[in-house]
Amino acid sequence: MPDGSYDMYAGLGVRSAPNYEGGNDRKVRAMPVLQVGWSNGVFISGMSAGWHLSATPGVEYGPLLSLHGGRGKDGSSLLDTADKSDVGNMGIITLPPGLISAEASAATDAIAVGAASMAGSRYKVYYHLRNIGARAEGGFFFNYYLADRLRLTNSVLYGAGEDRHGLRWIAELQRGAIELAPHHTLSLTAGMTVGNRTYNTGYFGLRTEDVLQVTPIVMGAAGGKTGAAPVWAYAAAGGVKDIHLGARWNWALSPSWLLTTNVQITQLRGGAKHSPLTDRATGVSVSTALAYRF
Amino acid sequence: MKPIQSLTACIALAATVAGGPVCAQDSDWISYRDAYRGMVAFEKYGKPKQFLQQHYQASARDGSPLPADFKLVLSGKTMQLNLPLDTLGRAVFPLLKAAYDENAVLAINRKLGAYVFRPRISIAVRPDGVYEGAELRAACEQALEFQRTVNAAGYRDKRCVGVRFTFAKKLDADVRWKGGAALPAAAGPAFPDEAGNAYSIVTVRFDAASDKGQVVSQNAPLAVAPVFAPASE
Repeated sequence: MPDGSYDMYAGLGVRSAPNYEGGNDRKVRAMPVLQVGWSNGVFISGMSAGWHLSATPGVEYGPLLSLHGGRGKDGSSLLDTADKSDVGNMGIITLPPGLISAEASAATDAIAVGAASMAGSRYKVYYHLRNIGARAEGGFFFNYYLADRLRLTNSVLYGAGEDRHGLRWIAELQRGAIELAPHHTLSLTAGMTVGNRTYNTGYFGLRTEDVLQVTPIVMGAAGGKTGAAPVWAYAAAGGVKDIHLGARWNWALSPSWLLTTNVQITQLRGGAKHSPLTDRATGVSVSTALAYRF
Repeated sequence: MKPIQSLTACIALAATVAGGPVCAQDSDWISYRDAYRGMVAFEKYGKPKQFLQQHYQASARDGSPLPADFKLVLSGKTMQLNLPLDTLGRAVFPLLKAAYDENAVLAINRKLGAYVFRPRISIAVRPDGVYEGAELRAACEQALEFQRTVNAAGYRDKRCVGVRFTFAKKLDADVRWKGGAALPAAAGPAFPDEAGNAYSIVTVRFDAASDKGQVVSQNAPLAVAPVFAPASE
């Protein structure tokens, strides 16, 4: 673009998504949209900002900053902070295969109940979902064009999680701007997110102190009363956290107005999928927004 | 929103089509910023390009020539600029910061669906009609090198095999190596990536001897285009 110019879309829309990754409940939220590119290569795209430094055709790279949304029972958004009361932040527990009981009791009041089979006994496990505030992440991006409008994108970001040491790598194959009809374009994405142990455990682990109560629901093998509840915690190993598919449809209503609609299906994998906090391994988020091109 | 689109195009066209029907029902627009993004690469390209020229080209998807009254108008808050098109639908594209900043449009007096718009690289036509073989090869190589810059993956495995001279009529299509017979003319599109056979085209193929010869075109061609082929051919 000309020196000193920019291209900006800004607008507002709505988004329906699980309250948090793996959560069963959904919420519809207002969603601001912002995308800006400046002539010096600096850009803002959603909750990320970066700087294009590459002069090599077909290759894009540079530093990247991102805001990782907060995590809480009632939603995951930048507006959520860890300062919110934990009261009521309980979720239904789902233990790893082999430990799951189909007889999970219905949640009562603020406390959710699951059933665990451990060492020959099954337990109801009460826990609360730890709130994690929004986090600033820093890292870099590297994109490589495999063909015209087909690129492999990578972003590596550090700083998420409760202790801010979470590291994640998002790798995607993106097919951009397929023209469906005049003024209608479709972009497709398939990718995965890899988290280190700190990241995966930060968002999908359960600390011992968050396990409020473990109550036996089946007598032990001896048929007598079960002894003390086991000390229990869950740590999600580092590795693939999710795989995801996305489709974005852009409709240029006029030279200035754009309707942008996005659907993303995310399937949690590995330690995230098997986390007690994960009620639903596959989540769908849908959003649509009207944006003005400045 | 369609009335708004139409209105934009109508206003743009009304300003330039003096005395004519000022507002055709069929009108549409293209974002100037989007077009600019595609066109600026050649301007900023730092490697040799002295044999090349770039236009913004409108062409019918089915390969037929553009309607005679087809108009392309740069329209912004403070500007109305008619962009004259040559026979092949090519216009000189103005790179204007003001138009970019105003989020101007390229208005057309047709619906978009039947047309395609793209940056078009071609080889500059020589007024005397005499082309050095070595220069034609160099021109093709320059074009290939540039295309690799904007679409590395698409042109990585291509090589230059010749150039295509395009004429409106078969009678005009007299192209020959100096001292040789006229090369065969065929019906086809002006550019290898276009459809249709609306023009008479003569393909000059490179060979080992061609660098030392001269190509003579008796009449001015509408365009001279590079011809690429997969490296394996």
